[in-house]
Amino acid sequence: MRPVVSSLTVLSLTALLSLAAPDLCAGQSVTASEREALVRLRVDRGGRAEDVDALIRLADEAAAKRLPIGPLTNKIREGLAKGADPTRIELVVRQIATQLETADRLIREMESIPGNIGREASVTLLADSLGSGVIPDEVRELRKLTPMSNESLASAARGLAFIKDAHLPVIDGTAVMVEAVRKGFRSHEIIDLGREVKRRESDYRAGRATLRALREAIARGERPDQLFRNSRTDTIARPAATRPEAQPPEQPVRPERPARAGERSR
Amino acid sequence: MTTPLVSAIIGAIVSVSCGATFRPAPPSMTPSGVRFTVMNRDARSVALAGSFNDWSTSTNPLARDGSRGVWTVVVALPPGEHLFMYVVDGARWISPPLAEFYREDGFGSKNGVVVVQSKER
Repeated sequence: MRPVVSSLTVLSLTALLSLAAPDLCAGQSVTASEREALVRLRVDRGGRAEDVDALIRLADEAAAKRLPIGPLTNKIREGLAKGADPTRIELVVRQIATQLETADRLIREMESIPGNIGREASVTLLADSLGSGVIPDEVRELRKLTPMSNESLASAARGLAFIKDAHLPVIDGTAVMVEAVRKGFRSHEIIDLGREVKRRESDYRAGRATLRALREAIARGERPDQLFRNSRTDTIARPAATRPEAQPPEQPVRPERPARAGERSR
Repeated sequence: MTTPLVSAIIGAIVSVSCGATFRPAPPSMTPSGVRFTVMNRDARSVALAGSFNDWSTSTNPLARDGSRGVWTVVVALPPGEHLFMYVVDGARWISPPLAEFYREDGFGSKNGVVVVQSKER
């Protein structure tokens, strides 16, 4: 008996599928299990399953444009878990979708090698920067001042977002970020640079530290671990810089007893 | 005869000591992960929900530490920036009273931000 599909056809189909696989992954829409989990989240909080359809449609539309949908499904899940109104969630998700689209366009118009590795992560990080206050022209300015990879560009934009959040001059912040890229800082080091400036916001705003001096230090060759060495500790162990304005602590934060010997003071 | 008295004294000492172990603080790094602590005397349960656990209100419950209303949990998190809030009694979402950074969540509250550095630094 002859097989219905010849082995040659099977081989051809396999080759075609393997070639198409990266493209299929890039435009992956919301999976059935994700969809089910989101619907359950809404129904468990007394809502209707249909409320979720419009939200999922937004993620699917983004997938059709080959945008990363992780930030969208995460925000949908967050909104549903918090019991937010679906129309409010839709608004927020639409904003993120727009930021992803802008980030994708910015990277597309500036990249020298289309579709290089880590593009999706770069689009996600750049969209996050746009959502944190950086505008497209500032991203273009970063790229104009020095050639950089998509990853460095997205990291520099994220670092600049921290500096803008600290209400410091964009022009000086841009110069700091560009210098860090020129000196070969790694992506997480570039982001940390902006984060450190934000942490020391009061010093910079009071003039006890300046972005110009920081840029000069980087230009002199100081490495990330040297730049803030006077008061550097592990990022996560640093005391809180701010508190949320809207919600004060539930209880007074006052230790009743001194810390035991050996315990780190906070 | 003296056993109950001794036990009571030891229990009191342990209780007082444990009470001083954790205080409300921003998330801090421990060898096994990030320690989250929050104070709430009236809560029957407190959970940690965030971008790292799909905003689940049950995956990372905090344990009450002593009688002073300090709740704590240690969670292993991958390097990067993570958003989080606390969920009291399974329904009430509260912004972290202490966190290094905050970000608007778009729904009228603020998420705490915890940054976990990669070990390569």
